[in-house]
Amino acid sequence: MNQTIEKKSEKPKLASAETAKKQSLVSTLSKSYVVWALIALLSVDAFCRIFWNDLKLDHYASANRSMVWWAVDDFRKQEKTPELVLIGSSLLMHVLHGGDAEYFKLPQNEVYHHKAAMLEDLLSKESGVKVNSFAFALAGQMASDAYALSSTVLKGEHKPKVLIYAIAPRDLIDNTLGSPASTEIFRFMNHLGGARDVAWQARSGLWEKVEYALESISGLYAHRNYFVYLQQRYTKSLLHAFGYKINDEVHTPFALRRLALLDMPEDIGSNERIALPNLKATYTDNSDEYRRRYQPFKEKDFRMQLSYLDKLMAYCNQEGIELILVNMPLTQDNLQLMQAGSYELYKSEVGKLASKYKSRFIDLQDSKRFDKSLYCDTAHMNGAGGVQFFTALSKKLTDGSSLALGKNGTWQ
Amino acid sequence: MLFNSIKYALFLPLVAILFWACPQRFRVPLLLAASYLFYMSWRPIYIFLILGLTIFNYIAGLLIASQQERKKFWMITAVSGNLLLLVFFKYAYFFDESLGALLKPAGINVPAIPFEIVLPLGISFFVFEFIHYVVDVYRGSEPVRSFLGFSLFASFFPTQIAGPIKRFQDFVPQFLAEPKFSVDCLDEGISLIVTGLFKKVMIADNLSFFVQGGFSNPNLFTGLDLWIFTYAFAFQIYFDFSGYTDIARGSAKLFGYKVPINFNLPYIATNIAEFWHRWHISLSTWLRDYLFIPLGGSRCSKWLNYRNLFLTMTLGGLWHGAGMHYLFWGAFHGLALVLHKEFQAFKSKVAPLQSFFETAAGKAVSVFITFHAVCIGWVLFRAETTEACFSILSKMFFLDPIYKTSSLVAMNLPAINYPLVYPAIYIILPLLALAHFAMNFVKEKDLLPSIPKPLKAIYCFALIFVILTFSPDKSPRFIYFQF
Repeated sequence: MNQTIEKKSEKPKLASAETAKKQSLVSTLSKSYVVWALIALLSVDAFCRIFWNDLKLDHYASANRSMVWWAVDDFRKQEKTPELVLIGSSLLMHVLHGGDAEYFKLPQNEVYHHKAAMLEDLLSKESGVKVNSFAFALAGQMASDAYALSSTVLKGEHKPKVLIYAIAPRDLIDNTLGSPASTEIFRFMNHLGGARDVAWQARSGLWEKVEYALESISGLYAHRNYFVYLQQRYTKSLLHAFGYKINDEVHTPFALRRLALLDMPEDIGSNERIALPNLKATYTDNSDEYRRRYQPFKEKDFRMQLSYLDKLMAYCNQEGIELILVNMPLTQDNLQLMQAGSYELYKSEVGKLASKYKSRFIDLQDSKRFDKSLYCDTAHMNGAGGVQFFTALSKKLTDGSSLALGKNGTWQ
Repeated sequence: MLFNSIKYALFLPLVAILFWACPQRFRVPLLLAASYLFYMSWRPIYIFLILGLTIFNYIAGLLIASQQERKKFWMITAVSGNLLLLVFFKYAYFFDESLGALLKPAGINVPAIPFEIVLPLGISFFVFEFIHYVVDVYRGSEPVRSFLGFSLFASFFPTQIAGPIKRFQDFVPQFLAEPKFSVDCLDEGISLIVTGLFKKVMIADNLSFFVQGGFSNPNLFTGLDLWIFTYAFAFQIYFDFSGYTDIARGSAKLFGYKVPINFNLPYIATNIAEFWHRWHISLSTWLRDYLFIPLGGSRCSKWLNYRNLFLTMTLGGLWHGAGMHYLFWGAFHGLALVLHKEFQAFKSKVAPLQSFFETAAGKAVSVFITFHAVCIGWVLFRAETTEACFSILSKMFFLDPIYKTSSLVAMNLPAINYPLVYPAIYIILPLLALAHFAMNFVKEKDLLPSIPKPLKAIYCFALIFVILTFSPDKSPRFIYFQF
């Protein structure tokens, strides 16, 4: 009996000891200035997390001005939403800038040149239709980027009527890619709050996922790029007050810039990339680079990128955007770098998706029409190639019935 | 697992919480397991190397202590074993190539090493700790009896990769005794970690983009540009390595342990000897105790003393890496120390000179000269090839007139959008130099302990905020990891 009483009285004693221990830990920690600093930091973080979207900030502002930043910045400044949007990787970039420079005999500043001007001109001449276009021709763009970009930017009042995706095997097969989320395009779309539906799956490694989780939890970490932007803005203003003007130009030789850019986010000055007309560019053999991209053929990665293409097509279907897939021409040398059967698989799978969503699939792969003299390497066309490409494309577009061109010169 | 990675940001608090939650008898095994896990996060196979070396040196220590008549033999065996391993991993290619180049004129073809040798992380540091251990036991120190304790001494994860090089007499008793959790340890530890991270991520990493551009393309720059790149590298390497050391010391402090300091404002040194008392202190004291003194030290003739200085510094240079430029860097410092001694002797004979260097102006001149001598050394250290090194030095001194203005190329090299170096390296470098003097003032006046806690809290808050938001997405590795 006595023992029972003792046991009963022991429990509250233990409980009070536990409470005292906890209290002593709390009181000990409350003396730590680091703990107070962390509490202050968590409070600021929580404020950012909760009220960020309510703050009147320019959410497009970015510390680094990558090609995608320049393009999105230009797109949102368009007075009227373009009816035709083109998306594609460096293959489209070369034909767009080089082709327009060649066609109009005018240099094209690649950071500002987002209009498929030659295509507009050719469509107008061939069908009498005046088209307003915009091109997101961004080096390294994968199918996953195309989906992230389209679903983030081409929505609401910014929806075009027609979206042309200039696709190539590299958009689905690239062994040099870390993960879909590792590209600057995907990163920037996430920064704009887009592609959230695939943000988790696009991060393949454990630590990539941990970092994303940290971004999701911490308001400060998620918006760190904005704070860097603010710092730059105020530093520029400060220096301006002292008469030191800084514009968006960069005068450092690109050989040096590339060294820094290897370790830093992509950042392009407004004067750094100019496409010139009549440029007799020498042919560069980039077989090694493309061999690394194509081989070995990793079917899992290919299928994953194909799933993003599927998502892009489903998105366009749902939003009422007509999607046209254009298979970009490549040299025979480039096609031979692929593992046997993989180019055929690529074409057949893209074709299947086109059928599934009733989209046009324009195949411009034609080694005779686009001979080696039209290329500056095994994959990218030169200015003359760009002119040939858009000539062929405009013919295909105006011949096709799916492109709803009205006779009165407007889009239906 | 880099100190400036998310992995470490999760790993360290987890280990620290488990450490304080555990009873004392589990703490050393826990830290040992964490240290091995830390090492294996790089190349798991090399865990056998650190384990093998630990067992080898543990047994060697016991044999040296127990077999008085054969203790020299065991000490030499242990030191040779450690050095052979270091030479194999670090210098095999260097010796193979150098021998090949040497014998080629005689028509002898030295075959290339037929397999790949990957340098294990931190090998230079823990091999030096093992050599210190066996030599000190030989000199009469009591060996460590606890195998777990000895294993943790060499593999303790905060100091595993790049030091500071610890002394077992100071370190082992700390974890064999029971540490008590205190708020001071927490505060001091976290403050050191965030200070180190700030130095590494915000200063050194930002400077590295600038420095890399200059040193990899010296032909594009004028002599004055190259001086600016060299100053930038001087601060980059200091903030990189002292940042690493701060993180290591702070991490150790979270477990209640003290790790020796490695830096003491080196760029305010008034002569080259003082510089080595302030720069990489744990290495320079190691070189003094285990190389310079065994060679004869300074208790010998003047010329023997100079020889010992020169040899110690040259070998210390080679310790940093298998490259001729490291050898030249070490030799340059050896020579500088010899010249310093000569100058000291000369100065003492010329009274006006002696009194001038005791004035504030004289001290300022001394700091200026010493800093620039160290900078010349940094060119030897940083240049990518021996040819590039001499090309840079010739531009800096002779062939490229100093009156040529600094080019805009250098100014714009950090590009348009890099957080700290942008917008002007010309502003950042003087600020970093001034910070050195400001810190010296704070230290001399012993102001740190009297800073009110709220101010310390603001300091921590600001640093964490800046690191969290302004650190570049990709951070280069710590420079000293390669050694």
